[in-house]
This record gives sequence, structure tokens and C-alpha cells, in this order.
Amino acid sequence: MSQELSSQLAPAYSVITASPVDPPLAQAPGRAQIEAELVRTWQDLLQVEQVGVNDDFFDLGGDSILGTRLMTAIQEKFQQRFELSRLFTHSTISALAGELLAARRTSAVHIVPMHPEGTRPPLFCMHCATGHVLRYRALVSHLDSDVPVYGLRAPDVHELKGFPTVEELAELYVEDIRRIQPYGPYQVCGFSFGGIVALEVAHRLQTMGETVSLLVLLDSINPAHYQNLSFLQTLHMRSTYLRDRVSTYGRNVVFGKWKQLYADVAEFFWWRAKEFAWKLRKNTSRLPKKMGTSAVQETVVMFATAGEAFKPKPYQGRIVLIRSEKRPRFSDEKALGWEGVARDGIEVCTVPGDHFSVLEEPDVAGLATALNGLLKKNAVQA
Amino acid sequence: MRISLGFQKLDGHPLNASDDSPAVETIPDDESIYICSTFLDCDPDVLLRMERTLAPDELSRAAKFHLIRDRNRYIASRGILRELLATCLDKNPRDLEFVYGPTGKPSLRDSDQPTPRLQFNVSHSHGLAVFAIARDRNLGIDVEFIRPGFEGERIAERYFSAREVEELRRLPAEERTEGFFNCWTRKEAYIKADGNGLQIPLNSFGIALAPGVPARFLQGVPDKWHLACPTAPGGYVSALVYDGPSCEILQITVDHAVEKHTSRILN
Repeated sequence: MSQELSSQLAPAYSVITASPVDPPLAQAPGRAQIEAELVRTWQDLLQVEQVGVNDDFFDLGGDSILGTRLMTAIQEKFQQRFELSRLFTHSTISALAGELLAARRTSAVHIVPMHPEGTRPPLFCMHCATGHVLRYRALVSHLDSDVPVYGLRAPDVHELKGFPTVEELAELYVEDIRRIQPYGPYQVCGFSFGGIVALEVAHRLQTMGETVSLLVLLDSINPAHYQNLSFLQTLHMRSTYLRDRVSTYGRNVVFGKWKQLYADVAEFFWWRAKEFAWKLRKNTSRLPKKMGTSAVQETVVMFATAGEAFKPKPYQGRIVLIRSEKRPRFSDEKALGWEGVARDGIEVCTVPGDHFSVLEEPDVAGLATALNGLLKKNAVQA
Repeated sequence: MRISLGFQKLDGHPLNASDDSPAVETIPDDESIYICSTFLDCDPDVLLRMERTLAPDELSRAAKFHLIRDRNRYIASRGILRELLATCLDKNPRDLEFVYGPTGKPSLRDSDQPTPRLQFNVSHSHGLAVFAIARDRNLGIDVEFIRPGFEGERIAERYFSAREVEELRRLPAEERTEGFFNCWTRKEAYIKADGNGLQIPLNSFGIALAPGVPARFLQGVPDKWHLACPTAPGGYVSALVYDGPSCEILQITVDHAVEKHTSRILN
């Protein structure tokens, strides 16, 4: 009888899973996907077959206990934390989806969802000295598709209170990472300068009582180590570097690649000139207001300077270093200066390419294979 | 329809005229709290009579429910609430008007209020409703159906205090579900009594949760709040939290056609 009665009297609902007018959000799950996922969750939780996006959770038989299970499901499916108290004011699927989207847009401003889909624990990639995460694109396309990958981009210059330190950047990023993944274990990595930030991020997560299951530095050097070399070590390093440069330039001369030679030499001097100019400005102007647009373009120098000033703290775990085969300036030091920083030692893995080609096709395949292996091993251990 | 109210003390003894205890007034005095628990599935004719006492906003809210069962239960719970309050105030249930707070908690319109003010709170779960009515004190009541085999561990980890989680884990496996619901209802009753929605983090205060152990606050709750656990039908747990001077909790039995021909018809 009840079946009959309900079919006669209950309003007919169709499963409306998407609002067609919403433009898809770049890469991250859009409103349609979030709503469809929430519809499925509600059907499960409330044991109701037909759920519309404007139905009220409590009208469908939901109560606060079922609400807690909805919060858990939201955390699992979207890696987002939603407070139970807010369910009372946002009790339809459409309102919930709006809140989830808004929270993602406004709160985690440094997060770039490079590949947010996947069921395995996410990987967070810190930006390199360019401040952006575009260099990771090729790498991400080679990573296992069930690992969600989030990039951390640098703050806009107006957000910075003066010249940033690695510690300040890491503080911002940890906050955003926890908005995406509230609890550990965490997986973080970073290329070049990004590796230095990743180390500080991992260190901070640990001091907060979280576990970091994987910390990978991608071709990063420990600047502090290279600043404290003995005279002989410095001499040796410089001569190795000089030999490499001379042989490169020499090869260009021998093969008549004048354009390449010009570009190499120009870059060499351009870089040093900018670095000098930056250091000069840093010492003369202490007010962030004076950081004009020309300085903004010099992000690379700004972050490189931050990296040079960074002193790594003892890390309570293990560091994995994936380094490029050809890293001329530091080629004679296998671990690029990271020995002794991590309590549980360092694992070094060498992949084909040089510092720049390692993130580009075709060399990136080697790096991706190594990283995929580490992520898989990590999943098995967990 | 007027419901007739019967009273008994919380310990379960009916109050007779011959009893030494003071005669029960129709309106709770300063030293008593009325609580009432009743099943909500009822005969269609009773339901119809209740529906007629509801205000337009309640009827349109009722129309939004997805399942007829839920709609009817909502009508019954509002109908009974109106009956109870009207009996206390000696008014017609239809004439009462509710106003709603920011969290949707209903209260009586000022012109209906006696002095001191009448406060009430309602909770329902799985077809059972509980009502609490008192004067001039804050109160919150909660009831939950003990869902058999409910795995509350993850919820507990997130919403209970560390001490409560530990206490829950120490319970023998067969008592854990009841322990979980004990804790949940007591927390929810406190949150409701406080009246600020779920603004108080659920894990910021502690209560005793083990079955068979007297319910009390352990930490994090101001002294003015008191906790009691009214008896609930088998398979349910309920909790009442109130402030103000100590008082007697009187269980009201509702005598109407509800409960008699329940689930057979609509479930």
C-alpha cells in the first residue's frame, strides 16, 4: 500500500545531476561532477532512489548523524573538509556543491589542480624558481593517472611582505595543502628551487604532528652546502664547471654554432648582471612598495636568492633525490650536498638528461618512471 | 481533539492523587520539566485532525518531504507539539504561532508566552519523537535510534574528544554501538540547549558514555548545565540537557490514537 500511495502522492523527481549553464572549471572537478557525485552519495546514505539537486538533505530523511557520514564522504571524495554546522545552512546538493567550489577557489589560492582526479594519495609539486608550475606539465602527463597531482604556485607579488624567505613560502603552501588534504600521510616534491621548498614544507608538516610518507627533490642542490665549501672544494667545483663551459663553448666554436655560443654567453652574463642588480636593490630598498614591475619580472632571481639564504633544518625522515645525469657544476657530488640533512638518510636516483631537459620530452620519461616507482612503493608500504 | 495528559516521574512511578508529591499543574512550574516521548506513525484520521491544527508554513514544509512517511511524521510531531503546548497554555492548538530562530529552532510568539516564558525542544529519530517543556530555562533534548551495527568509530574520531574515543574503544564490542549513541545524543542535547547550532565544536567537551554508567559531563561544560537521560523505548537512547535550578523531570504520557496502529499502514 505504501508503495502505491507514494507513487500517487509523492512529487515526481527526476535525477538532475548538472546545471547545464555552468562552464567547466579548468581541470578541477566542475559543478556537474561534484553534483553528480553528491547525488550518488545521498542515494547511498539516505536510501532514496530519486535525488534532485534542490532537494533538502533533511527533507529526504537526513539527520545530524547521517550528516557526519556525508562530511566523511565529502572528505574522501573531494579531499575537502566541510564543517557539519554548515550543512544546516547549505542543505541542498546545489548549495553544497557551490560551497565546495567556492572554498576551493578562495581558500587554496596557491593550488593549481594539475590532475585532481585519482583515488591514490595526492602528490604536491612545489613551483621552481620561475614561480609557476608549467614546467611540470610533461611530467604530470607521464605519471600514473590514479594519482591526483596538485601544483603549488608562488603568491602574487602584492601578497608578499617584502622579499620572501623559503620559510614564509612554505607556511603559505602548507595551509593550502591542508585545505586539499586535511590529514597525512603527505607526498611532496619539487624541482630545483621547488625541492628546497618541498623540504621546508615537509619539515613543517612534521612539526604539526603529521607524517610525510614521501619527500622527493627533483634535481635540487643544497645551496647551504655549497656556500660552506673549503677553498680546495670550491676550486675543484669551479674548475669542473669551467671545464664544462669551455668544452660547451669550444664545441660551439668548433662546430660553428655561433648563434648557440652567443645565446649561451649572453645568458651567462645576463644572469649574473640580474643577480647583481637584485642583490643591490635588495640591500638598498627595504620597503616592498618599492618593488616595481621590473623586479616582478625577475622572480627567478628573487627565488634563487631566497634559496641561497635557506638553511635546511634536520629532517626527521628520508629524502629521495632524483637528479639529472648531466648537472655539470655539481657533477662530482652525487647527492648534490644533501648528505646529513635527513635522519633516515638520502636515496639518490640518477635519470637521463640535464637540469632543464629532465622535465622535457623525451628525457622526462626517465624521471616519470622513477617517480611512478616511488609513488607505487609508497602506496604498498602504506 | 484534545489529548489527555498522564504524568509519571522519571523513575517510572505513576503519580497518583494519593502520592505525597505535589499535584501536577497543567503548566510546568519552575521546578519541573515535562518530557514526553511518543511514536509518530498514527491512524489516518488522527493525522488528518493534526494536520488541521498546522500553520500554512508548516504545511508547505510538510509538502516538501520526499517520503509520505516522513511527511506524516513531521505533521504528527508538529501536531503533538501543538497539543502539548496548547494543553499547558489552555489554548486552541490551531491558535499557537511559532517564530523561528536563526538555526530554525521554533519558539512561541511573544503574545502567546506566559510569564515566565515557556521553553520547549523537540527531537525525533526513526519514528519516535521526544518533547521537553519547561519554564524560564534553556533546554535541549535529543533522541536517536540505535542503528544496529552502526560503525561510529570514524565519526567518533572526528567529533568526539580524545577521552571519549578512548572510553568508547575500551567498551566491549557489543556495547560500543550503544556507547556511541549515548555520547552522540548527550552531545547533541547540549548543543541544542546552548542554542547556537553546532558552533561549539563537538570534541571540545566530554561526557560519560558507557552504558549503565550515570550520564554526566566530564569536562568543558559550564557548571550551570545539567544532564539527564530520560528512559526511552527499547532500541532508542535519549538525553536532556537544561540549566537553572535543580528540578523534577516528569514524563508525560500522551493518550491518543498514535502508537496503536502504527507501522502496519505506512511502512
